Amino acid sequence: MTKSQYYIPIGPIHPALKEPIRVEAKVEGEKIVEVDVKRGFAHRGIEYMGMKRNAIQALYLSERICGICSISHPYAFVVGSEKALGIEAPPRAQYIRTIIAELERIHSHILWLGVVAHEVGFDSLLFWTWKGREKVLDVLELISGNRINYSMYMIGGVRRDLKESHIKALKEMIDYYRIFNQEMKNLFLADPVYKARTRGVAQLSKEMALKVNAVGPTARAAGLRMDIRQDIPYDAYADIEVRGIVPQDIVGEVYGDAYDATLVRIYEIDQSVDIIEYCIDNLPEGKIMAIPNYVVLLSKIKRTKGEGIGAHEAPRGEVIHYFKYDGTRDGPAVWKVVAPSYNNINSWAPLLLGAEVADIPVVVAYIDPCMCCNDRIAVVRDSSGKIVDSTTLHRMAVEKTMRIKKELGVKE
Amino acid sequence: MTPNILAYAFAFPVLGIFLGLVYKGIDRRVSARLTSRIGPPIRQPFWDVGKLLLKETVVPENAISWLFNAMPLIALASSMTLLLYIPFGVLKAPLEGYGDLIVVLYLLTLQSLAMAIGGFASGSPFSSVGAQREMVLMMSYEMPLATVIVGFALIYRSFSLTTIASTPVWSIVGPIAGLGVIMLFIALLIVTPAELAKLPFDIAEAETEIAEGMLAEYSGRNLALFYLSDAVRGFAMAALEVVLFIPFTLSSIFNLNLTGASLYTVEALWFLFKVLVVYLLAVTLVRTSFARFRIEQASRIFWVYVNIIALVGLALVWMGV
Amino acid sequence: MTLKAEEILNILKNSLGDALIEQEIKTYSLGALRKRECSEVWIKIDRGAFRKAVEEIFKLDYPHLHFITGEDVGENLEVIYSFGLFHGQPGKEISVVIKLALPKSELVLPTITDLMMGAETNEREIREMLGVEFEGLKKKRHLFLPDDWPEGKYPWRRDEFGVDDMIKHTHKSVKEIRGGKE
Repeated sequence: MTKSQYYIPIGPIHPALKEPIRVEAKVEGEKIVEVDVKRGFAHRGIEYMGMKRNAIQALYLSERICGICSISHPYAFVVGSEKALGIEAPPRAQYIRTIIAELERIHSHILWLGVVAHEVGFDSLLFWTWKGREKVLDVLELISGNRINYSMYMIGGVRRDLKESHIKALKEMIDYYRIFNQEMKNLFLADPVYKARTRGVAQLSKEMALKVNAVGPTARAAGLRMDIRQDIPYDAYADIEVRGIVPQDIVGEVYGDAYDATLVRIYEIDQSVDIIEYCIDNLPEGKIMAIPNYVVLLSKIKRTKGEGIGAHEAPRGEVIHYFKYDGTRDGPAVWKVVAPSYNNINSWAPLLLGAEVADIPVVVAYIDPCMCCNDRIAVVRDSSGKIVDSTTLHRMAVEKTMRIKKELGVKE
Repeated sequence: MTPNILAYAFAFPVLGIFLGLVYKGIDRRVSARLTSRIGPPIRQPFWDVGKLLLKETVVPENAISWLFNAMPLIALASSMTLLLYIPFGVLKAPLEGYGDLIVVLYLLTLQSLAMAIGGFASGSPFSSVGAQREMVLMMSYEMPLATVIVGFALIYRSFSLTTIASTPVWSIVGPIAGLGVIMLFIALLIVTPAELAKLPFDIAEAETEIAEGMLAEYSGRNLALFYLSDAVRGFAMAALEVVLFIPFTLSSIFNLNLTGASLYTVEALWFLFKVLVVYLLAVTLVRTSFARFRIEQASRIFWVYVNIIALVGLALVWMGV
Repeated sequence: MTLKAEEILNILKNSLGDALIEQEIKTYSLGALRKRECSEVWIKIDRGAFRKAVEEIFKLDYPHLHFITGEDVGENLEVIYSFGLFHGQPGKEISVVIKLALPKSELVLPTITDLMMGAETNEREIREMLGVEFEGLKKKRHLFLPDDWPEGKYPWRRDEFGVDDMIKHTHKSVKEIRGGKE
């Protein structure tokens, strides 16, 4: 008797996928026998757009590449551009950049933990983790004015300084996450049902991780000790001696499965909290921009010829930007972006082969995929059903920031 | 068939749907509060049904349409009929004497079966996978469910629900058999979320894996019927557990001398309260605090652990009686 | 085992010989208070020696492919590969950047997917964005561009194969799009 084969199309729109991508799986019973991945449903040609704009515009365009890790692309952008242009950011700016990047890592990892809880059908845990995530988002809003897309970075520095009140809020947040993360370890790592659903699922061997070019927590969960913050240390990371977190250091053995990925991410939150604490304790004084005047900066970019590679360890893995400034334009002549999911999605096909249908969401969520989000128009209605225009929305957002400042006891 | 029964037969489904939806609303609200959300208003399920009834009913091109359309009706009819076999507190079951626990077992199965057949008939791969899972799950939990019913037949020497409801089980069993009955109760409580396709056993409808599985292709009126049958079944299942295991009446506890309308009102409210407690314990609390199992894990849980509990319970009952 | 940038360059020089056209070691000092040196090896090689250079790199250590990109520089396409060597060792990772010029008449390169499975994504992207054929690349379906993308159009090209004629609004200001009216 031949077993009947089903063809299951997953995506581009599917409840397990937060962003559009298509996984075409051929299924025998519950086992997957063939996989094909089609990407590009959210391809917006951002690199092309960036090559037509000036460097500062492209920097803020790069912030819109990803909706979750919105600071990782600008980070790689400024590091790469500074290498290519020969600018060096003041120490204080470098520390502030590191703090922002680590804050983002905390919120991104908690987001992932919530999503993976949802994928295994544990919605209560999703609500709980995301409730805990609000704290770091509030702090980010306090510092930058926005929950997401912080617009903090500039080639050769940062645009906003950290004030005493911000540091106080950061310290409070550090205490909060020390406790919160301990609770998360109990809830995720010690939970038998969670362990049963993730242990042995999406198991990536060390060799396979190398072969498919995996990066970030995905590679670290497989036991590869790679982390840009450790391998090519930049900014404040060079002062701190960050070490990549791998399961063999924590529990002594590596499975490379979704459970290990959870382990790595939870312990990385601890690491981020430690890094932020170090940075605010050792925050150097001084200015925050190498070239404060944008016109001067742009004219310097226009005069400079150079190439550079910028790398940053984003929450999901390494972000690499390649720049070429040709000395005729005030923007990059060539700009190439490699996001972590670009490489990590390579692991889907080998992981899904032989897996079960029930494992698809975990495998998909395992690498924390971050396809570039589609352009959207959000129409918001107020309680009487009237559409709120963007000016009103902006005013309401500003009011909320004020309210948070008041609640956190911040006085300018 | 007397006019009385006919009146019941019309009143009960309406009441059953109303109560089922109210309980569903309470369930959603409590679950939301447990996860620090505000949650929908309790009347939300009514709005959901109303909205679904207004929506267009789409039948997929490659579905077997008569089968696809018939299954929601069968599912709702079976849940409704199920309700008619359950004695509401001191009220007698409308269909008393026309069937017994065995029929209840069949009716419980029939609804799941209808959903599975509807899933197969819809011709979508998601639905097919969901239906397969439902069949596997059904084969797993039917055994402990049947064991529970056999246990009761052993105690009462009868399958009749009215007999069971008239005499509380705890008053006729000894200590050993009592322990057995408790184990049967635990087994039934574990079966409940699977029977009702709720977390952690909503494997057949896992929305992140197979996009609601069997229900993937259903829409509009058909989906509303499934929704209603699900609500009614949730209420009926909890009511069944109350009838079997918590049969105490308020008047027997407090030695109240109530008669006529006041007796019926008090006992009906007491019965509804007991059902609510069981519902919240067996469904709401469980679905809020567990992750979804994989199908083979769920199968193992029922075939090994729950079966052991149920069979040990049955053995104890057998020894005690 | 780790090697310094100079040593890597020497090994490549010995094995490639004349095929090595340009060479440079770029050194940056990174870090805020405690500066650290980080070096990158940038080489430009003859396209015939590409496969040999890659194999030489794979002999040193299993590298990590950072990116493949390319630029249209008129007559030629300049394709750039960047490999990260010795990752996983604190502060020791060295990028080896290989540049090669491909004449537009003969846009063919050998694939490296047999050495590194994960390079498939990068090669497929370069194939659809610049029109470079990779010998031995198995899957050739469009990856990022839609399946019905017109043939012979490559978004990163600046010649007649480019997409400038397909674009309406991307690099115009709002004012231009609205015909001079705000």
